[in-house]
Amino acid sequence: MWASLPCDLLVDIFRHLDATAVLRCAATCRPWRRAIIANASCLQPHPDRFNPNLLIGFFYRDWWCRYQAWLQYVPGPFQGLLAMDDDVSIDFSKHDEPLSSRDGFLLLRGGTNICLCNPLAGTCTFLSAAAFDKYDDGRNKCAYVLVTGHDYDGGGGDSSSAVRVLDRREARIRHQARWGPVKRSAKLDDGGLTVTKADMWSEPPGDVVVCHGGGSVYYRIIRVFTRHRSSARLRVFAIDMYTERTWTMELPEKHAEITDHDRFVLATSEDGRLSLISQLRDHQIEVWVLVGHGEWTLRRMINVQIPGCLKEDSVCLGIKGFCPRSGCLFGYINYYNKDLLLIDVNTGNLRLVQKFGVGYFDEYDGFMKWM
Amino acid sequence: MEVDKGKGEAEETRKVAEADRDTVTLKSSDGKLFEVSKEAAARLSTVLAGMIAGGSIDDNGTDLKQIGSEALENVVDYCNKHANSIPSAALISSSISFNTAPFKEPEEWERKFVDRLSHDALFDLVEAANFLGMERLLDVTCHKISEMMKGKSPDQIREVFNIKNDYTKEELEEIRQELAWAFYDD
Repeated sequence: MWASLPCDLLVDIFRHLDATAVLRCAATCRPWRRAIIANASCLQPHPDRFNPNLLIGFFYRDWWCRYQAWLQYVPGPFQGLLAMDDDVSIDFSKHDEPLSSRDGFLLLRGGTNICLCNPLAGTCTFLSAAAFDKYDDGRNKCAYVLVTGHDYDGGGGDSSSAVRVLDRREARIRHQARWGPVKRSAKLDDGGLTVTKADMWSEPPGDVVVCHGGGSVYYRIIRVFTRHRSSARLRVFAIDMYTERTWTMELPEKHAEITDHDRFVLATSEDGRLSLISQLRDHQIEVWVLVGHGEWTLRRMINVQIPGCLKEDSVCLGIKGFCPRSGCLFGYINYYNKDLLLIDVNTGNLRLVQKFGVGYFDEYDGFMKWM
Repeated sequence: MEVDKGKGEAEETRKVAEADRDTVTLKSSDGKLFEVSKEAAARLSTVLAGMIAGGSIDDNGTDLKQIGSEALENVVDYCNKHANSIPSAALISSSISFNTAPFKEPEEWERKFVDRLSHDALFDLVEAANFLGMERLLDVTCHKISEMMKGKSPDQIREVFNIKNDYTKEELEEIRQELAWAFYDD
């Protein structure tokens, strides 16, 4: 009897459980397991988010092999459940450009096509790319942001996802639910600052959506010039996903002068705030959290000790991306190293994960994404 | 709240203009009639609200073929209790859950209401709440069911819900290894 409850009712029940209890239910019987796998994305891992076990995998491209994309699963509890390799109708040699990822969904682009896939459920939805998608030389003109029903009503009803397009050149955001009509646009160049084309190119890759209460805000770091073009600075750009209000914020005080974007990754904190992870010195990572209006507070410092490395100084560490569900920060150690570094931001624990299939690496394209 | 209606009484009711009635009569799959306040029905159930607004309420008892008398009795009971209860100050769940709708913890009477139900009755009630679009009742029943799963091993969950284990030994061993942290870390 209980095994045969309709899927939506099962999901309503499992919603009240934490991830561990959900996984135990998955091991109870097949119908429950099917319901859980198919709805993994809306079974939010609360309250045990920031659970490193929820990092399923990552997607990356090699700088020198632009047409080679790699999907790598991280060993963990979901490993055996992933359907991607065998029976998903997606060709990674065509859909090789990860655009965005969130809550178990991955958005990939291939030519004029965009594919929204859920590797846990093995499903794909194909969409066409935005018309203003790219420059002639192939650079991205816009940023894609995955939004879910939770972003609008703070949870509950609609758990479907949609894709939003942030036009970087014209500095507009377009709302497109399943590629419906464009809703309206909002300006990016807020506060008398201009954003130049060239600097868009060198933006840090890390963008993040922070949910709170009944809405959510999309953040990314942008490089801006002051009015007189005398200096360039990094600022945090924010857009409210619902009201489309935009604003910008300064970085924490002592970071203001740094223009090297490789040193920053935007993240979320364990209590659901925007946080900034910065790497000011080679092996030291700082985690800053936004409290109130544009005020940052230093939450913790992590000294990265690479396992198995005796001579710390010879190791080159670079931070690259952050996965909000698992609380893991991605980084690489040395260019040629076969391992990828995962840092649990909450505890400072390190994990090495092997890169997949490629013998030689130079640098990441900056598109390392999580699932 | 079960109402045994005589034929004459039903006829009597029909004479009263639809707009003047402040109750609606619901009929379970096994033909039993229940009366519930129109205001409570419309407020608590999106399906009944739609039927009331759309005029598809039958004075002789609106057929709810999917719902048995025991479940319907509980539904009506819940509506009446809800109408009589004074909502307490919002007891928003204190756990961090900014990605999901803030779940309002069951009130004392709601807890008692679901606690006294047998497993079978709970099962029927959750289906009825789902069918009638009764969001709060669905929340409260689902919460109760989830409470019965918390802190239990798959074996214990199967036992509580009387679920047949349809995994083979090998599959189970595989899952067990895969999910080792979920089974043994507490």
